[in-house]
Amino acid sequence: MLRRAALLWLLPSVALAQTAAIGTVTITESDTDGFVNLDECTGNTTDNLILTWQVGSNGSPPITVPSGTTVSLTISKDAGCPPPSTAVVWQPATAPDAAGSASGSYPVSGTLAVTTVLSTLQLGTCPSQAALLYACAAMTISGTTYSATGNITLDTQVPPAPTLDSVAPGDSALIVSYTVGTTSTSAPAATDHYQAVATGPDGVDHPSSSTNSTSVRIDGLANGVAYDVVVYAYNKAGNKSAASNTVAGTPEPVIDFWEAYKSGGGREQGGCGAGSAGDLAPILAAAALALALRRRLS
Amino acid sequence: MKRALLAAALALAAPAARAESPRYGAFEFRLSGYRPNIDAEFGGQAHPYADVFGGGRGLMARGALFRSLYVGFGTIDVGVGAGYWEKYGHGLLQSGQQAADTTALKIVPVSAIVGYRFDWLADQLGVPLAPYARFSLERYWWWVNTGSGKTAVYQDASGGRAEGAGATNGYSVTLGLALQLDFFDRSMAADMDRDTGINHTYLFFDATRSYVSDFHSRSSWDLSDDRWTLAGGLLFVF
Repeated sequence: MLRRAALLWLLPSVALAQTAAIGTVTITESDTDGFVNLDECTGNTTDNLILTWQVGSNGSPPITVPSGTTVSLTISKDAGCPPPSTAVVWQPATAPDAAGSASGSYPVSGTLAVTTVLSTLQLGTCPSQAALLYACAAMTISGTTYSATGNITLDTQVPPAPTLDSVAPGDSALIVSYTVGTTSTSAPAATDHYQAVATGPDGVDHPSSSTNSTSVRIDGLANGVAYDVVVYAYNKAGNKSAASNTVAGTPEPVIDFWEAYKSGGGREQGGCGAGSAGDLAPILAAAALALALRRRLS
Repeated sequence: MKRALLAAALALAAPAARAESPRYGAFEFRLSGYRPNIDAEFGGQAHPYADVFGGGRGLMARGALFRSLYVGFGTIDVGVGAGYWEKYGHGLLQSGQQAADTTALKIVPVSAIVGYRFDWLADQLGVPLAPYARFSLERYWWWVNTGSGKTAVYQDASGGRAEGAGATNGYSVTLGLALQLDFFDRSMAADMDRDTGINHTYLFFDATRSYVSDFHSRSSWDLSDDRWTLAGGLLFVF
C-alpha cells in the first residue's frame, strides 16, 4: 500500500520531466585557433570564449520560446550538462527574446574571458594537461528541458625543445637545420611546427616564419654580423617549447646563378624586352591571320 | 605456320574504318629531359650553369592543344603549347665554395606549332604507326630566384642593373613516331570515341632540336637544349 502510494506520487514527476536535445553549442575563441593553450591560460595572451547556441537549428518542429525564458550557458570540466550548482562556470541567465516570444532558428550566446573561466574551474594554475572543456546550454519551457552541448580543448602541454644542428650563412640570411626533440613527462606534446630566432648584438630578435620543415631560412639579417640562433618547437595548440641549444652564425654575400652568369661575362641582359622578343609578335599575328582566313574560306 | 602468319598480316592490315565522330584537333601531354646550353657562350672559359646546377638534366613537362587544318592523307595541325621546367642549385660563397643558400632557374616555354602526322596508314589500313614532323616557334619565359625566393638582380661595378628575368625566342624542329593505342583494343577505342569524342589515342616518342637564343642574337643567352631533346607522351585526337 505504501509502495503504491509512493509510486503514484513519483509518476507525475517522471512523466513531466521531459528533455530534448536540440542542436549543439559551438565554442569559438577570439583568436580562432580552436584551442585554449598555455599562453591563454596564463593570461599572456588575451582570449575570450564565445558560446553560441543556435536555438531551433536542429529542432523539429521549431520551438517557440516565450518571452522571459531563461537560458543557462555553462562550462564545466565534466560532460553531460551538470546542474549550474556543480557546473563550475555559469553564464547568467539570458532572455532569448525580451520583446516577446521567438521561434525558429536564432542564436543565444555568451562571452567570457578564458582566464575567468579557468580560474573558476580551478585550472588557473595551468597544470600540464590536455583535456576537454564542456559547454552546455539549457532552458525549460512548459516542463520540457531543451539542451545542447559542445566542447573545446584545453591544452597546456609543451613539446620538447628541438636540437639545433647547424647554422649556415646565406645572403643577408642564416639557414638553420634542426631535429625534433624527444618527448618527456615535462614536455609530452607532439611537435607541430618550428620557429627559429636570430638575436643580433643589439639584442633585437629576428624570427623566421613558422614551418613544419626541419630547416628554415631567417631573412632580413645583415651580412658580416654575428647572430645567436635558437629554435623553438610548437605543438598544435601553439604551446612553445623551451629554447634549443644556441649556435652562432654570420650571414655573408652569396652569388646566385644570375650573378655567377653575369659576373662571368654573360651576354644576356634580362628584363621583359630581352633579346629580340618582339620578333615573335608578327609571326604569331600572321599565324592568327592565316587561321582566320581559313575559317572564312571553309 | 603460313596460315598463322597470313592471319596476323591480315589482322594488321585490316581496315580500321569505323564510324568515327568528326575530328577537330588534338591535345597532348609530354615529358622530356632538358638542360639549357647556357655555358656554351663562354667557350669553355667559364661554366656558371654547371658550377651552380651541376651536370644533370631537369624534367620538363609540356602540353599542347591543336586544331586540325587538314584531315585526309595524313593530318596537318596547328596549335599552341606551354610547359614548365625548373632547376635548383646552391649559390656560391665569395671563397668559391658552395653556399647553403639555394638559387633557381625557372622556365615557362610557350610555343606555336605546325605539324604533319602521317596517320593515313593507321586510319585506313590499321597499321598502328604514325610518323610525324613539327616546326615550332618557341618563346621561353624565364627567371632566376635567389635564396630568399626573390628575382635575382645583378649590379655591375658602374651601378648598372640587370634583372634576372626575361624571355628568349627561338624555334625547334621535331621528328617522331606515334603508336596508335586503338590497335590493342578497337572496341574500347570505339567506346571512348562514342563517350568522349576522342577518336584515337597515341603513345609517342620524338626527338627535338631546339634553337632558343633570340634567333642567334649576340645579346641573348642560349636556352636551346644542349642536345637533341628526347620526349615521350600521349596524344589524344578528337
